[in-house]
Amino acid sequence: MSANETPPTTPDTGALLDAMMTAAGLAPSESERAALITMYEQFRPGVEALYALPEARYESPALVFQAAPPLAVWGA
Amino acid sequence: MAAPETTQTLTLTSAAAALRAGETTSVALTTAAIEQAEALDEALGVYLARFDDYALERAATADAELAAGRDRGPLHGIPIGVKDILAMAEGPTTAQSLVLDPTWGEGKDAIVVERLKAAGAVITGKLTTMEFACAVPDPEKPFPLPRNPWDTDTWPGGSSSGSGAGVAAGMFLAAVGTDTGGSIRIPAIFCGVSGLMPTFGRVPNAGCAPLGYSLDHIGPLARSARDCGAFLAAIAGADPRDPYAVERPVPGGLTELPAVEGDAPLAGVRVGVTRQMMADGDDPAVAPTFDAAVDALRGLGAEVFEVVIPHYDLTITAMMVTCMSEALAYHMPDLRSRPGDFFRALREMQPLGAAFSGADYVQAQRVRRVSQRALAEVFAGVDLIATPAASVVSPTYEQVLDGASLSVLDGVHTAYWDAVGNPALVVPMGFNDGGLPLSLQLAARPFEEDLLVRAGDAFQHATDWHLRVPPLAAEAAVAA
Repeated sequence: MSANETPPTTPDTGALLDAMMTAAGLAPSESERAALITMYEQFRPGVEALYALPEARYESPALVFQAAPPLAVWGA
Repeated sequence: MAAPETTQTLTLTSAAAALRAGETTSVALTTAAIEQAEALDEALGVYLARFDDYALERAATADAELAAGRDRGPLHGIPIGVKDILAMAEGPTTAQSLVLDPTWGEGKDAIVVERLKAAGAVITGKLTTMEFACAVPDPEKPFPLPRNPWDTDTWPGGSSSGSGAGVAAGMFLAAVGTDTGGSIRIPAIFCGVSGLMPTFGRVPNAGCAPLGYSLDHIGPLARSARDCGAFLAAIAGADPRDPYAVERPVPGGLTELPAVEGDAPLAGVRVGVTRQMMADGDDPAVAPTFDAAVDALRGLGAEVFEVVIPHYDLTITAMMVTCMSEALAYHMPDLRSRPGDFFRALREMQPLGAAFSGADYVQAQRVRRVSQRALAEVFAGVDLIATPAASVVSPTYEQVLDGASLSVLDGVHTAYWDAVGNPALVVPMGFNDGGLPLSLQLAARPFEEDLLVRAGDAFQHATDWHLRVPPLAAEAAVAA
């Protein structure tokens, strides 16, 4: 591909998923890989839509880091 | 003389009253529950482990304590089941998985189990779930396939499958469930019982195998809303061993719920109604049944308004990104080293967490906050939101196992409330043409479970769907 060509807008989902699974150290079987590709293609537009919500642009995430949490451990 | 009641027809709270009136004993209730399990468990796959001897000992102790005037509250002497993702000293915890380290939680009680024991509950055993409270069963793995007492060709829902099926079948009077995307409410819906997901943080999770750390809720399934309130009161409250549990007073209305009186017990309660999640493929009985349920609320004095739940689909996506990411963090080492030990459904779903970026996860949390903010505005105008709990009924096992793991849950309307953290109650509202249960879902502002229980109790005062008994269980019913 030359420098002036536009990259494909629809990536090869299988290749993308393979790369992500490999990076995570996971090795799904062929049938599991097929199911994951189907689910990924179903989910990805929704995930992109999370970024398109205007009200979220300056919202803080629903995550709270406590500097002094209760440190008792269950089962200890 | 009226026929003796059975664990099928008794509610938790009516059994508690009968105990105190001397009309039954904990040993009689527990014996009936055990006999019901003897008769039905092979067909229904409710239990992973039964503690018959332990339960009968606890029941005898409860009878002795009550006779001596020591009353631990409404769960005292009541047979209940515990979903097998909570640790309990009397037996191993499997999370219905080959993967969970058998030494995890060994000899220990989850905080909720500690509280149930302190309340005098008679725990009859550990109940079937979906693997780590997620997805659908796997017939290739050495665990029971839970069945719905209303039709054993169908799935009782998950993940608190044994909890829902066992309450419907009278194998105990209430059970612990957990809910991350609907796992208390889905089996309650499919099995025709009541289920209450408390506010996030209302009940401590420590000692319960996690699915999604910021989504997991422990709560009750029982025959009635009133039962769920009494159960919740026994397990709610902060604990320093759980960083998510919130220090908030437990509403007195959960345990001291007055009897429904007058023609308009819900006068002054504003109910927002929405059908926005309904679609063309819905079971045809859902719309008229939901309309009738709304009419019943109106007839009880509630003011009814149309509302729209904000950012509905987006919030469910945020919930899925959150759940898959948090679950993968927990399961990553085992998915790398021993993937074949997981259920097929988890192998086909859980790795997807690796396909979401850290930014995706954080953005999902930003959307959850936006939704909480927008939802609070809706709740400024109404006190409760009513929806059909599901647009579908219990699916057949053929549908469940056909390979599309989550598609059977497409018509279930529970996950939004996990994402925002508000409490939600499901109560039976009728049946479809095939005789399978349908449910009404009510949601409230955070920490207003008492209003949910009051509304559910009033609804169940005006209807008797929650007292219907599956024919299979009625035939086996044992007098208590």
